[in-house]
Amino acid sequence: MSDVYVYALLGEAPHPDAGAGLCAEPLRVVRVGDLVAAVGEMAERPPVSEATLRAHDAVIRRLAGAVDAILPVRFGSLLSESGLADLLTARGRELSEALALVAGREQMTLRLLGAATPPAAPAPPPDDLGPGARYLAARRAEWRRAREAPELEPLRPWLEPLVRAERVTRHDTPPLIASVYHLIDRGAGAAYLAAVERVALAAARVVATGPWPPYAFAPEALG
Amino acid sequence: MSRRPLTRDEARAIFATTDSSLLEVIDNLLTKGVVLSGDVVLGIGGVDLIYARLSVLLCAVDRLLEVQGEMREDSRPRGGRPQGGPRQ
Repeated sequence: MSDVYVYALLGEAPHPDAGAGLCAEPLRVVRVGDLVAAVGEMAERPPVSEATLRAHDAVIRRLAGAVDAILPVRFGSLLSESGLADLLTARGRELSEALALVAGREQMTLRLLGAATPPAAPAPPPDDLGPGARYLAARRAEWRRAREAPELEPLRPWLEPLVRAERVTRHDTPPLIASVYHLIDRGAGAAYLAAVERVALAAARVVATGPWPPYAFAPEALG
Repeated sequence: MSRRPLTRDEARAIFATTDSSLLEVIDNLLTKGVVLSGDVVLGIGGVDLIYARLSVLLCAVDRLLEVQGEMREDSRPRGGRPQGGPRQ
């Protein structure tokens, strides 16, 4: 029996059906507990190419349009059906929570372009901490900085009414200095783009794209 | 033709044009989304890997623009068959 190529986890089975996959294979759903996975049977993993990436993306977009909640699966996830069931069983609660977060929502992506600015020096930890605690405090501050986009502050008053969740990834070499992923209600994309256009940032130029399926709001580590 | 890094304006232009949709698709599909198998193509994306991929892609787009430029020059009146180039 061939393996299954997993496209997405869904809040419910799509109607009227899931259509075809990136190799024109018919899609079907696999149910594990409350979770629904959209899969296609495939003998081997498709090669990475612009054509296969765009085909995969097209499948995800079509599925996203057919259901209220979707968690896209990363390109190249080919595994046995029993392996899929094991993974979904082991992480069912986390995945159900993630599906609840993205239900009725979609993703907008901001790329912040500009010159690299050295991060502000973190506040020194209190002297009464031991060396181990100081180390952990510094690591925590570093972790926080890697997930913050202070360049966006002037925009936040305009975006806050629209944004339901945020993920930030900083990049350490210009011109791309950060990627910010926002989860918004479906249909709010035009209002979001208009809000981004309202304010020119001093510290970076913003390129907004979307709406996208909520790729950046899927659980990271399920391997 | 010598390679040179993208200027910031060029990078902005690429992100701001329709070419950016391919960058977004690649970032979404290769570094985001649920990871279901341990040996996903190109590995699991950390911050550095995400940047590296986008960076590599920017360079690839840069090269593609160069090739298109060469093709336009080669197809001008002096004739000559446009030179193809690697599409990365």
